[in-house]
Parts: sequence; structure tokens; C-alpha cells
Amino acid sequence: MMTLFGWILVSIVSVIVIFFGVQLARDIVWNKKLNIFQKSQSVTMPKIPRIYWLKRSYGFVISSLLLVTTVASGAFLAPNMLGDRVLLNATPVGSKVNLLRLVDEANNGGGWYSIFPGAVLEDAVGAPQDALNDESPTRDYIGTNNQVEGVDESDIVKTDGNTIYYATRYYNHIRVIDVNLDGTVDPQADIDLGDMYTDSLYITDTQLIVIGYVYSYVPYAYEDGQDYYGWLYTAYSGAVYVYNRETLELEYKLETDSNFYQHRLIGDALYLVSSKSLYTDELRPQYKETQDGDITTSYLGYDSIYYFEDVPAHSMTVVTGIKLDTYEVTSQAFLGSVSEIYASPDAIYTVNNYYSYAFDTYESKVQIVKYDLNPETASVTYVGQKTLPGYVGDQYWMDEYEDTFRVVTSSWNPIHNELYVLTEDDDTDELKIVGSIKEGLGKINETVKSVRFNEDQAYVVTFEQTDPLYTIDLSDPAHPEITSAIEEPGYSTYLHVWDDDNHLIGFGFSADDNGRVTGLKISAYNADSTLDEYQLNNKDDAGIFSYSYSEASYNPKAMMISPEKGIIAFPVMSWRYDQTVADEWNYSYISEYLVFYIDFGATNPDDIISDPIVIAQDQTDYYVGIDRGVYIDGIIYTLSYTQLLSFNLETKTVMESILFETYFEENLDKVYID
Amino acid sequence: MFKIIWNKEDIEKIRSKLSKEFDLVLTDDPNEVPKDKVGIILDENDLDKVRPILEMLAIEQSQLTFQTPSGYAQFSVHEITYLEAFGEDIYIHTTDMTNQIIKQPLYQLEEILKPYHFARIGKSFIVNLSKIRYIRTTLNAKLDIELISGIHLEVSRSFVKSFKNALGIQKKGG
Repeated sequence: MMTLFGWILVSIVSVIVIFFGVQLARDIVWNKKLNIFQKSQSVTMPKIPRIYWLKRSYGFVISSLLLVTTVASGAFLAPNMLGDRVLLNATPVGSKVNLLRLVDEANNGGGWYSIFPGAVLEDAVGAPQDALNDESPTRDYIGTNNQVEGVDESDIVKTDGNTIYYATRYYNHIRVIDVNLDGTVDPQADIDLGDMYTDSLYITDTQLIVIGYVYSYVPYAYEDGQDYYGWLYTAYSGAVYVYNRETLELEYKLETDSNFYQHRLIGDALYLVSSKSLYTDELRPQYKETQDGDITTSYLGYDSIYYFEDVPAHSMTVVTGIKLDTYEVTSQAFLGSVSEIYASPDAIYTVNNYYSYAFDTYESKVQIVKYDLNPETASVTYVGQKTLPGYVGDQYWMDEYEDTFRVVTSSWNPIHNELYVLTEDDDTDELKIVGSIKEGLGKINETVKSVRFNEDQAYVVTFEQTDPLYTIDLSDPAHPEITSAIEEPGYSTYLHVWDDDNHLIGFGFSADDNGRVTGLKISAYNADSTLDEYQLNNKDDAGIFSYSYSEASYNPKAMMISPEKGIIAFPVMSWRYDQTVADEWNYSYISEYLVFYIDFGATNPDDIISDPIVIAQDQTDYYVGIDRGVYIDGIIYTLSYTQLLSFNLETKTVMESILFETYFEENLDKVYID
Repeated sequence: MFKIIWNKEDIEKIRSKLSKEFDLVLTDDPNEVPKDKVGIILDENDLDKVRPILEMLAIEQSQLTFQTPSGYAQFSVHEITYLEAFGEDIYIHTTDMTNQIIKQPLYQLEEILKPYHFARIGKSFIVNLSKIRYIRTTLNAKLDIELISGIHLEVSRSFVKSFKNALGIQKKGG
């Protein structure tokens, strides 16, 4: 659409064109008549010089050109609007043809490469709701380690204190375990998910939400002359199953042709960010909903799919909102990949890390897209975007606080780390930079390892050989300032703000003087120095070398953290190479759950981090080690595929050990074992 | 079948004109033509084709005599480009860019000249239609006509229709 001024201008030029056109046409008619007359009268016709016609058509030709160029140049095109915002960056795709063109450009032109192409389901999301059923007793429990208060992230374990829901990941089952008031447990049910694989659960007061994917083998074959090729192609589709928590019956099912990459639950609004392939026949995101036996299929229209001029269209990012009480679904989509997301109660940010190739060098870039959330309708609205240098490593590199969005980026070439403070613009879809730190974050060759924001403070860990932990003062968003830097060997992969006195707990790796990683460690910091740290030994009590590993080192959801209770706990798997029988060396796996008490008030700094309480499950194969621990009323329940162990923290004794039914036999073909 | 009788002086002119522009062949079969005359034999179907040629030839050869202040003057029709009234006087403009004053009212001249492809284009102008090179339409619904001599005349609004008729009425013969 054109602006009013554009319309007026085009109208005026059109009138001129019409005038000249009519005049030219009349000239032609008159002279034709003259010609016919003279011919009919056998008059030797006077020759009309060509220049006459050129002169006469001059006005028409020039004004026509002016009209065509005015319209074609788009100089007076009205800007695309979304609400009352001018879209400077995003443009609706509009049609399939246009979408295919953009995909083609992304593949052939310009040398764009998307890094960190997502579409892998991550353990995330889903903390329990604060509200509980009226009839249920209120229990003291520790929920999922969420980044933002009020924004629930999913996990393989969810509890409200009365019931534990545990997704057994690769085995397509959800164990439902009631926890009695005396701390004993009653396994209630085992929900068979059929073809659905999940690592993402959420619970509301009445619903259990399971997000995962279903895959089917599609036979694919072709003949090439004499040869015949055939194989099974794996088609994934993202799925959301909602179960009634009381009856454990499937209430609602949503399947889509894209992978649910990340999601958040805010109140009863479930927001899903998915990544859709653009190499399928149907390019519009598809939704297949099943409710009360009725199946409805719908598509997101091309007008709700936007693209950005400079962002390569290797896949489509779809942001979907589901209102869980009515199952209303709304969505918006953008061309471009999604690498990480961050959500506050009011907004979702998606980031797309990609490489741009220009002037013979690769530059890593990150596009940040903001969507407003409306929890009433579970709808999402695109607000704006900003492209920054570098990449964003994980969700903790981002934060929203008092209308500002803060993000840390890290670049490879050359290695460089920056912090930006952005705000949204009232009139356009361009997020504005209000402040930044471009120098001083990390020494030469140090990249960002972990970040945590807390109101007007930010903590950034960079690493190459030693670990500077920078504290940044963000109280003036326009002038962020590095206030201190602590150095120690190793680095933290996760930072948790413990209290308002700038106390931090870091989880990560210790390293020697050369920067070589030696093992897991926990550190306690204040703003100025490392107060205490605990390293997991490479050797066990018997002096036998072992290698320890924890899912928590890359997935903070595996960690159970409660500053209120002064607890940090996580599972650890140790590999031990041992001579169990003479001349026969074997690996053995020990799965343990470590519970640390943290007390920054301890008089002796060495006592800030306690020695861990070790809860060991039965020795087992490594792929069925302890996944999570749950704290309810002073008891830790550790969960693995094969076993549940309850451990009383007060008496430091094992209360119960329950062996679960396993599905190794029937699922053998589906289990991926090295 | 019909016959046309011609003067012998015109033979060369007609022969070339017919063969060049109208693809007609001139014969001189003595059996069909009286002594000291030549004739062309035409198919009846070619009558419409030939008539204007003959008329044109006749017009071109026509001599008209007008009264002048000092007597009478004779003009070949094909010499006249246009006539212009200037008060009582009428100027006859000719192809050699000269003019001659004659004493005859314009409305009379209009009647006299009508058969010779002249048309009234204004209160004071009569133009020879065969001398028009180009017609320009103008903003005020008038017409600007350019004669082969380069002179521009204006067809005033009230005469556009009659001018149109003069041009458009090729139904003359039909």
C-alpha cells in the first residue's frame, strides 16, 4: 500500500499521462482521417516528418515513465504496520512463491551460514505452579531451577510436592509417583506415550503437559538404472499432549510439522518456539489438534509469516501460544533459525546465531527478536528485532529488567565479548541500543562461559586459562560499568545468584595452570573474591582414578537449587577403571547424587560449601544413571530409569528403594546404546 | 464497359500516374479509339478506383476565375493553399507563397470551392484539404493544422464539426 502523498502524486501524474495519451490518440485519429481522405481523393499525400510524431508523443512517454518509476520504485510505499508499529525490519512473506524465493536465496546467495542450527529438543522448561489443589496438603518442595521467577521451564521431572512426574526420556513413559505425607511413595501409574519421545514436562493444577516429538519411518526409494535404493526416512513432528492429572487421560493433543525447540509456561499460557523445515511440500506451519476425538487441522497463513531482509531463510521459527484452559492456539512465524530463547513474564526473545560472509571474512552475528506476550489470550505479537555482532551462548546470557533487555555476546573472529542494553522502540520494530560495554570483558582469547543477571547487576565468566568473573553494574542502563573482576583457575558454566549481598554460587570445571580442565567444582563468591570452593576429586577414597561427569554442567535443570533451604544438589556419574578380578580390568559406573549445603554466614569461609551428602543408587549401566533429585519435606528422592531412592536429610539414611518396571526388552530397538 | 476520351497532351502524365500509383495499364488499340485520341479500357469493377483519380486530375487541371479589384484573375485549383478574409478583401494564398486580393464574398467562394476539396475552417478561412500536412489537437478543442507550406491555421471550435465532415465524409461516392 502507498502513502497518502504517494497516492496524490500518482494521481496527478496519472491525470497528466491520461491527458497526453488522449491528445496523442486524437492526433493519431485526426491525421489518420486526413490521410484516408487525401488517399480517397488521390491527393499526393504530404509527407509527415517523423520528428512530428516524436514531438507529439514526448509528453505522453515522459509522463508515463514518471508514473511507472514512481510506482515501481516503491518510494511512496506505505510501511508495513503491526499494531501501531512501523515494520522496518520484518516483512510479511505473503505467498508461497515469495517464500520459495527467499529459501532459494538463502541457499544460493551471499554466503550465509547458520550456526548452532537448533531443532534438538533440550531439557528445559516447566516448574510447578505455586497454586495447589485445595484438597491437597501444601508441601515444602524444591521445583525446577527456573531462570526467571514466574516463567516455568520444562524438565523431565515435575512435582507439586504431592506427586512426582518423571519422564523416562528415551523409554516413552511417564512415571507418576504419589508422595505420602510420611515421605513414603506410591507409584501410581506409568503413562505410555506410545510413539512420543519427551524430555519436557509441565504441570498446572489440573493438567500434565508433555512436549516432545513423534517420529515415523517413511519408506523412501528410487531406482537408478539397474540399481535400486531404498531406506527409511525419519519424519519428526512436534507434539504436545495434555493429560488430566486426576484421571491421567489424554485431554488434548497438538501435533505440528515442526520441532518444538523451546517453550515456557506462564500462568496457563503455554508458549512454544519451534523450528520448521523449509524443505517440505507444505511450507506453512501446520497444526493438527485432537480433542474429544475430533481432529482439526489448520495452517498459519503466509501473511503471518515474516522475513528479515538480511537474515538467511534456512528454516522457519514459529512462536505458538496455547491457552491451556480453552486450548486456543495462536502463532506468528519468521524466516530464520532459532538458537536460544529467553522469556520474561511479558515477552519472549528468540535469538538466531548465524555467520555472515563479507569482505573475505566470516563474522558471527546474532539476531534478537522480541515478541510481546499476552497471558490472557496466550497470544504473541512481534515487537522488534536487533542484529548484534557475536553469538549468544544460552538463555542465561539474556535478561529483561525494568523495560530493558540485557544481553552478552561473544565473537570468534577476533575473540571479543560485549554487553548490550536494548529497549523497544514505540514507533518501529527496531530495538534500540541504550548502552553497551565493548571493551574489557575478558582478556585476550577469552570467550564467555557463563552469565547471570540479577536486577541491576550482571556477572560474566570468561575463560581461556583462568576464570575472570566480572561483576557489572547496570544501575544506569546507558552506562554499564565493570566494577570488579575475580580470577581463579577453571571456570563456571553456571552461576546462581544466592542472595542480595552479591553472593554467587558457580558450578563448573576446575583447571590447572595451563587451562586444562581437571574436574567438576563448585565455587562460592562475593563481589570481590572467591570465598570457598569444592572440587570433585579425580580419585576416589580407594585412590582409584575416576572421571566424573554431570548433566548439570551443560543443563542447569539437572541441578536442584534452593537458596532458601541452602541446598545445591546434582547427579554425578563416575567412570572407574578398576581391576575387579585379577588381570581383568573393567569400567564400572557409579551414579551418585550429591547434596551440598551452602551457608554464606559461616564463620570459617571454608565452611561456606559443606562436604556433600552422597546418595548412591545401585551400580548400573551408565545410560540409566540418576537423572534428577527431588526435595519434598526434608526428603530427597533420586530418580533413575530403574530406581527411586528416598533419603532423609535429617537422619541421613535411606528410607526406601523402589525398583521400577523397565521396558528394555520391548524397546530394545529404540534404545540408542553405544 | 465504358470509354473515356482524353487529350493527347496529357497522355504521358496519365500513363505514368496510372502505372505507378494505380497499377493500371494504358492501351492504345486504334480500333477502340478515334484518330488522334487515346483511350483506356477499364473493368467496370475499377470504376470507384479510377473515378477519384480522374476527378483529381480534373480538379488539378481546373482553372477558376475570380474578380479582383483590377479585373479578373485565373488560378489553378492545385495552386491555392488557402483563402483568408480580411475585412472586405479576400486573399488567395498560393503554393508559390504569393497572394492575390479578390472581390468575392467568402460564403460564395466556399460554395464555389467545395467540389475542389476546400473546407471552411473559420469565419475568415477556407483551406485546401489536399495541402494539409499535419493536424494537431489543442487543449481548447480547436485544431491546429499545418499546411505543406509550413503555415499554421486554426480550425475554430464551431467549424471543427464541418471540417470533420469535410474529412470524414468519404461516403461522398457511396
